[in-house]
Amino acid sequence: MKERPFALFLLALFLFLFPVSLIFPMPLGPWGLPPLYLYLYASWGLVVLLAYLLFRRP
Amino acid sequence: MNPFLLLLSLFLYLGLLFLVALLGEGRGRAWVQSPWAYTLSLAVYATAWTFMGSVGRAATEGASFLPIYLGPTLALLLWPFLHERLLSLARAHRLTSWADFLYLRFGHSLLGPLAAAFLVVGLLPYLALQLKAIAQAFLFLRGEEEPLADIALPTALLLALFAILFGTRRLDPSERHQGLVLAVAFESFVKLIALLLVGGVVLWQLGNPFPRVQGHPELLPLLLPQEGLTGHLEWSSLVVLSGLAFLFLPRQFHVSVVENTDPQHLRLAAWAFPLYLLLINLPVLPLALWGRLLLPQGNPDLYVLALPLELGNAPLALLAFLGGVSAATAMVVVESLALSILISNHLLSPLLLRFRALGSLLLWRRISILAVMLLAYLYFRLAGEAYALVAMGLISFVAVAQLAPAGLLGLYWKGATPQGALAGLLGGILLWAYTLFLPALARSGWLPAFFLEGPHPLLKPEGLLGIQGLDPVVHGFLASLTVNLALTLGVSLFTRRKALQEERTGEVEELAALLRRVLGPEAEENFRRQAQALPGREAAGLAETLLAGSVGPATAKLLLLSVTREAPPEALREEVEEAARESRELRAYAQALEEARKELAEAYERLKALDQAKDELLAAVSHELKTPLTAVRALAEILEANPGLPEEERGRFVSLLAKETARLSRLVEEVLAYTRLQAGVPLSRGPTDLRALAEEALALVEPLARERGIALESQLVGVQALTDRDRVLQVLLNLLHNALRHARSRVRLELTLANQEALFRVFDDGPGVPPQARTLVFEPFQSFSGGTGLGLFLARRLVESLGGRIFLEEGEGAAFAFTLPLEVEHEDSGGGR
Repeated sequence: MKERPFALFLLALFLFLFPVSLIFPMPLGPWGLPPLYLYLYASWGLVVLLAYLLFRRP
Repeated sequence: MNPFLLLLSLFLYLGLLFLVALLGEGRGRAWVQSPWAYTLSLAVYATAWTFMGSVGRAATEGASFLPIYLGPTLALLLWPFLHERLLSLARAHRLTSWADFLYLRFGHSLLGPLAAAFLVVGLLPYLALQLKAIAQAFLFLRGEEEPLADIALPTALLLALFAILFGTRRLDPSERHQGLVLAVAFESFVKLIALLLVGGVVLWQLGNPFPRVQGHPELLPLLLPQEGLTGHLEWSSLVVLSGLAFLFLPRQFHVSVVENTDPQHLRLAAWAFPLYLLLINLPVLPLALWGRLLLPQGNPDLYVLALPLELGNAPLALLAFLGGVSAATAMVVVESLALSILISNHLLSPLLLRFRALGSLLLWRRISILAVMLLAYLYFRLAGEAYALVAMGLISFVAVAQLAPAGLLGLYWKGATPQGALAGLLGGILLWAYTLFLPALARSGWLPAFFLEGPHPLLKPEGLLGIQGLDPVVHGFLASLTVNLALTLGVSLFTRRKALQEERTGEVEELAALLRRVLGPEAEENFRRQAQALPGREAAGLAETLLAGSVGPATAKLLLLSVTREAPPEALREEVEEAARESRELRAYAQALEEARKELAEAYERLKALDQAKDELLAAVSHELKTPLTAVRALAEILEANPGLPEEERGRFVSLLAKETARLSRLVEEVLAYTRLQAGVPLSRGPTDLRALAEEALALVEPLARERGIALESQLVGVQALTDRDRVLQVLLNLLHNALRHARSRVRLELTLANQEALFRVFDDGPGVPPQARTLVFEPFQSFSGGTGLGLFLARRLVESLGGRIFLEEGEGAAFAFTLPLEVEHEDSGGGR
């Protein structure tokens, strides 16, 4: 059972530490919003969602 | 804003906190037990530095405010590996801090005090930062700049009172503080709602700030990632640093481990707390950008308050102020409590023990809360606007991260040694002081500039080995943690040897008396209950755990020295245990011998009784034989001497002769049967029709019954059995003869099938067996009707030899019954005793 939390941790580590400067060199992107923040909040939200799915039941 | 209203709001809010805490101690206990309260209490992580400082950091440095919250998200995902282990250890050993764990794991007397003192030094400025946030916000809303300290002192004193009231009710700090937890959870809720409301209203009224940023090129870097390897290294380091801080901050250990009521609460916290952090960070960037756009000259750390005022929304500004107060007070109360426990467990307890004043420990813990708060206030007054205070948030994070190598390696690596842990911690502390703490003081002007330059270009505190371009905090973190980790690992590898774990053993009575002296009668009773069946070593361990929870592990060990002695070493213990085991076996063997001796004595007594009984039997049989023999001889002599006897008279004599010889024959049969039993003649089993056998027995006794005028009745079912036909017949005849001898008018024989057994019953309507004779009726030579006393005894032995049982039933008259198995492998061949 501990494998899945660890896999989620590795995924989150990858998402949070990804060198975003390589793919988001512009300050503003779609809808006039900054892609850097869009990426960070989206990946954060994804991790929270996956954690919810993983831990919601005993 | 009206200062009176502001002050009133502040103290009303603090009063509300007292009420919430009281509710948590009383009727709100069920709320405190909920996983949501636990999750919200973890948000004590988000301090005034989050509430106001994050916007300030975002407004000046861009996205670098986010790693501080991504780290805890990562750390919580690892709870099945980290927190579960910590929780079980904390429960077993009543841990109250990481310093307790280090002492427990490594047993080095310096580790606990060193960690405790270092954490106090490292975190005092962080506490001061919270007081500053409250005072600064208060003055800003009042519209004044000076004096800064006005409101900080009464706030600090009130918060100290709060922590004392709800955190130090009992001596045992490992007990839960329900009121405190509920108050912290409440504050976490308030600060989240406040920040979301401020962000929502600002966005609602001012709109999306991003399109406006395009016209301000100086703001565009705030929306871009940090560039290059250095930027990425800084980002990654801050994520790791905040993750470690989340694990090792004393207040986080307190709320996540000490105050945890159910390990399963971590399931909710693992996703709900990261969600909380995400939500509280959502308004940060828009607020920062609007602050930069509308208030370019303003203090970025106060944008959360300034923007609502700029919009003319004073109530919203007041709400933002209370949100900031919530963030600050929760942190101050829990951190001061956690630090006071650290101080009392690792610094004060050993001293108080030396001066025989341990009884005043609770008072000292309260005093240390007050002292911590006053020191934080003093630091804030002295540092003021200095860099040493402003930068202290992250510098404090780096300080607590120094516990990580010893803590994590201690948890998962058996090879970590006390020397390694101590060397790593010392190295980390020195590097932290050299690269971060002293330069911060130098930047504040408290120390000479030399502390920024170092003795050599390669030893520059903020650029060791010539490293340039790194943020000083990241540089200090990487340098101190690398050295710390290297020393912990390296020294551990060089000092690896089997750890000599000194164990102590003691008497439960003495240990209980010690607990009574130190912790009171309740603790003594609790200990006695748990230690009842424990051996001395485990009882001493339990007492140490109970003491450690209240007075700290080092003092607990010292206290135990007086009432315990060293347990024998492992090798010797094995010998002792072996000797004890042999002794136990010897005792068991002696006991078995004694039992065997008793059995032999009883058997001897029985043999003697049997021998005597045989003599009596011989006498009885001789006597019984003598009577009919005398009668037979007399009758024969009469017949011989009187050949002319009338026919009728002669017939009567012949009949008497036949009767006496029959009696003789029966006597001889019984004696022979007894002898056969004693000699152990084997069974002769064969398929037997029991109903036919019963009918045969009835036919054999029928003449006797007729002679006595007794009616024979029967109710027989057809039953087949594998048994010894002759023995069963003999039993039946014995019982029937017995019944006929006592019956008045009728004898009844029944044969039924019950529970896979054949059941014979023989009833008569005689006087029955007297109560005093019922237990003896099957014993040999117990005659109550003038016979040999062997009939029923023989019947019992025969039935038992056939695998059945015989018994006397209750009721009128006599009712003997016996059972026979239908098919049986019986080992007893019928031998007598």
